[in-house]
Amino acid sequence: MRIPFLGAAALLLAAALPARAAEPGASKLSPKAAAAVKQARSGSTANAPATTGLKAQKNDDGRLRAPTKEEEAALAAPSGSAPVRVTSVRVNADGSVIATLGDETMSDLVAVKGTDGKLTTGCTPHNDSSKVVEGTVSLPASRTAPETR
Amino acid sequence: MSRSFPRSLLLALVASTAVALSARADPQAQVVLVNLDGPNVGLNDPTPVAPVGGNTGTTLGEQRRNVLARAASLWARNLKSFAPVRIEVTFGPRNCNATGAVLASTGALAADLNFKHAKLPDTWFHIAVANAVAKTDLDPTGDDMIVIFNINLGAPNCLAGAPFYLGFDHNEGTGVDLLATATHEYAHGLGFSQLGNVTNGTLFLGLPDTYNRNLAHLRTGLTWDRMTNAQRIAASIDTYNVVWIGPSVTQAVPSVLAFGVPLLQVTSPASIAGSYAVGPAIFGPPLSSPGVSGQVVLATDPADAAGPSPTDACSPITNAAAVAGKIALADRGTCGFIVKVKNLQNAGAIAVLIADNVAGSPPPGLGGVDPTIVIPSVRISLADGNTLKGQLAAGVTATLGVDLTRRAGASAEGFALINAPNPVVPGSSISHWDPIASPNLIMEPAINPDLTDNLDLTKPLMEDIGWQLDKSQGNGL
Repeated sequence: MRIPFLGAAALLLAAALPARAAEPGASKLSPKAAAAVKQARSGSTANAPATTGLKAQKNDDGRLRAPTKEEEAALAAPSGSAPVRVTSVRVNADGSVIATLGDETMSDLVAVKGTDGKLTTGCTPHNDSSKVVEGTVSLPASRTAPETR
Repeated sequence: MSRSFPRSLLLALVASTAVALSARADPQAQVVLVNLDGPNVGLNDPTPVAPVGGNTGTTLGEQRRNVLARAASLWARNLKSFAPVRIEVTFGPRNCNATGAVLASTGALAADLNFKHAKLPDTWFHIAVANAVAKTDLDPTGDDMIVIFNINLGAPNCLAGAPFYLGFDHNEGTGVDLLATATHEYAHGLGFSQLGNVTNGTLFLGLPDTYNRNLAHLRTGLTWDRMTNAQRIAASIDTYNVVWIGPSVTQAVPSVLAFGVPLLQVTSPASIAGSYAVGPAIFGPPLSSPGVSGQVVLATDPADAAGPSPTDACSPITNAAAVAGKIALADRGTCGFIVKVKNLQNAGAIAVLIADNVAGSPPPGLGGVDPTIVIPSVRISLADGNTLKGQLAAGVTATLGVDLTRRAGASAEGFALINAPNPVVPGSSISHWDPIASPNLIMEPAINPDLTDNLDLTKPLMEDIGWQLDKSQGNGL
């Protein structure tokens, strides 16, 4: 039976999926890797506070389960906007771990035009680039087009 | 003609292939561009265009594809991997207005830990390099990175007049070199970025990655993974003291970076003697060796409408007799740098130090155009300016010039410098080379107009983080 997609019932959970212990590779995790997985699933990735978390879907019987990849993408994408990726981890059977990286690890290359018309470019976090574009945050002065005053 | 193998033979072939895999040399990497654009937009835009800078594509979409493919080829020819590197590429809307624009957004799509053949335990690898190290595609259903280019760049109200330049010859003029941009962005996705957080010092999910395990802080002697969060926060803003210690880059430094570090060498009083970082002016003569030596004198001028501070040099200098023949010191503020330097030159100064009026390091350069300025000038940091001012009564003597014993972009020990500006710049700090490097490098925080197809220190960095290189390719196409 296909489990219905309950987008409205989707929850951001913090360490609420103990069923993950059934992952075949869980017993092969190194202690440090296990801690990393736990941290990811607790939603406390310090470098991804706003968007990191574990999403869950509710089955017909009310039990929680992990969303499918498609459900996760749909949950993350507000209508009409670019999808927002969230960090999540998967433990493989051999004890290796794959982290799907969220938007917080993306960077934007930004260009700003100076009063002399010259462009200054620089990398900023994806989530902060709008501040640079809008001029509320400055790029570091360029060596090739430095400030004139 | 196709032939069918008995199943048992096929299994035997598979098994022998698997055994041979570890002994076989890794093949040149295949970089696959996954075009996410729909019909008639972005990479598929059918608008007819004329050839430009060696790009013979006949439509806008084809020229864009050609540039992205050329950048991909640059990396493919230099890296080895059994698994294809899959890069999702698209031209889409990005933030922009008349004076600013996001050129491109980039990120690795996954990172792996403790996979087969991983040489470093409990260490994250960007998925593309993880695949190369593992000699297999660890996540065959997923792509490795995504790059989203701004589809509106150059249009009205989106940095008008500065569109992506689609030639191969880096002759972008007032535009933005798409080839250099793509080469830079691909490098981030291939592993040239740390996954940790420079603002709070945390490692990604508490563990180091293969990039930041090559970082060290000279002042403490600690590698990035052995620091506390507080130590990483402090190191991230310790300009010129964060270095790359990977052996491949360190070996390549002498063949890539040029000698000549601009600096101010204070010789007396002994209490403040030493080297001070400077930001050279882009006007006037370049700094030289052995440089200009003399006493440092604070210039004074009227506090008037041109400049409210008596030390901003915005008006004709009032202590010209003291300044003449000396290295003049003045404060940043109110008027342009060329106004200050010209006033000090008119007072007889032999060189100029402009002390910044905001905290931070390294001191940026001085911009402006005035062909009548014939003395060298630089900016020094606010803190260094205050240090000098505090000792002027005792008499400060200094030399402003270029240290030809050191390479621009390397520490005195010969390690490549990593970008560590103060204040920290998330997205830029630590995940780029220091912009003092000369010649300019593809992975400095900015896309400089003099970049070529040369992969400079960035290619050996890929080896330090786990890639195998095709060293027969040199450093470019």
